[in-house]
Amino acid sequence: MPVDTRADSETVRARFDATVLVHLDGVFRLALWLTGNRAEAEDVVQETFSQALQSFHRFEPGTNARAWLFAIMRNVRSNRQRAFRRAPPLSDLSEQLDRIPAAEQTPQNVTEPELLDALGELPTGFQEVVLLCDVEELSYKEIARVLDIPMGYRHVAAASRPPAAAPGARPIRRAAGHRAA
Amino acid sequence: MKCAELRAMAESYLAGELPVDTSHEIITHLDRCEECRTELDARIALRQTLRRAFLSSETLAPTGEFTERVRASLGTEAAAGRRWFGHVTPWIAIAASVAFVLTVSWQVLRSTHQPEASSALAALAAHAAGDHRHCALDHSLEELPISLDEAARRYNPAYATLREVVSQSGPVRGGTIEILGAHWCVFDGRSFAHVVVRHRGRVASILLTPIGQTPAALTSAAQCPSSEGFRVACFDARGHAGFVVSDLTDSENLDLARVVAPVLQSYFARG
Repeated sequence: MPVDTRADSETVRARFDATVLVHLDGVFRLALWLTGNRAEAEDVVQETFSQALQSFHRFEPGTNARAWLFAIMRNVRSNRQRAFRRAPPLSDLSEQLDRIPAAEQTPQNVTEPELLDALGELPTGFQEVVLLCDVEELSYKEIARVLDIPMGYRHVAAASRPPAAAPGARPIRRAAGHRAA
Repeated sequence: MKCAELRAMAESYLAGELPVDTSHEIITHLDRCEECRTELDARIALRQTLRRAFLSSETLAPTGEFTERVRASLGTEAAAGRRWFGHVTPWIAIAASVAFVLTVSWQVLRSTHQPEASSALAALAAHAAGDHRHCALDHSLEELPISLDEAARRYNPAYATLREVVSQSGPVRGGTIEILGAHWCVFDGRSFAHVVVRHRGRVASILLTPIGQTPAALTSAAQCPSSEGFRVACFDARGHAGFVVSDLTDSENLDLARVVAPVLQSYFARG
């Protein structure tokens, strides 16, 4: 006798739409920013949501769906890039942090285009951290999970080394200050 | 705390990543240092500008055609999955049943119920959001709330001074906590000790519901799934699940929860 699970499937799909698919806009923006190519971003996002749907049973309610999606997207991007290039690991970027010019004081009245330009001048790894922290408002712990770097690492170790660890506005402030100078 | 120390920790402070006592030190410093206030305001403005620029950029937005394509594609995948499940033969159904029984037995033996705990927490969070809407905002509860004094007599003496306990919470960044009211109410069959506050000009609810077993070990406040369009942060306080519900941003709501949660946890732990 056939087992009809249509109602269950529709419930799951409704939950997926309400919990996960609602973040399509944000995920696409991040994908497009990081890839710099609309066609590539569309492929990455399509694959990300397809994988998210397949593994939705592993998503834990109560956790941050956006962080979960960003982690999937990072894997998708990583797999697609593996064939021809790899982004440098964050550990290689840490030395660059101190070479980014910083303003003594945070510049005021920076326009949106100026700020996006400044963001674009940062090393790619930093751009991702800044966006996850300042735009997506993920916690340091969530960022560490998305980027698959151990908590306590210099870029996301808020608790142990707050002065050097700030992953958010510090680099962007440096870049913005550099541009404003 | 010195100005240099504050500025070094400013980003972690703005991200809500510092321990409560360090945040208090920063707030105390900001009260008497105009330069640092100006610097912090500039950093807040910078973050807000970046967020606005990124999220409103038309250049970065997906096209309507692409959005529809993703939806349609997911619909096709889901339908394919449903067809497969919808025509399983009896022996697969029986095997699935056996597997289900074994899984349940194993979980009972294992005595860790993480997925169930998460679902329970999400359900409680949805109740909390419903109570915020129907009690704090719409005043449309079916049952009239009772005073905390009455709730203290009926259920737990600790509720009598809950309003005062919340009022003793430490400072929260971005504004004060103004208590608008406190009572005991019931929404959809679940009871809450409810303190209604105003923060950053928005009405927020601090809700505590008695629970036999805490659904998750949330010793510090954490973000729960949004419900009814509200942000929900949750924490546990001995024998209670605690929630902060509002239409503040995720981080603002969580900041508020991170300030009130330790006070309430300590209060109920003493009780």
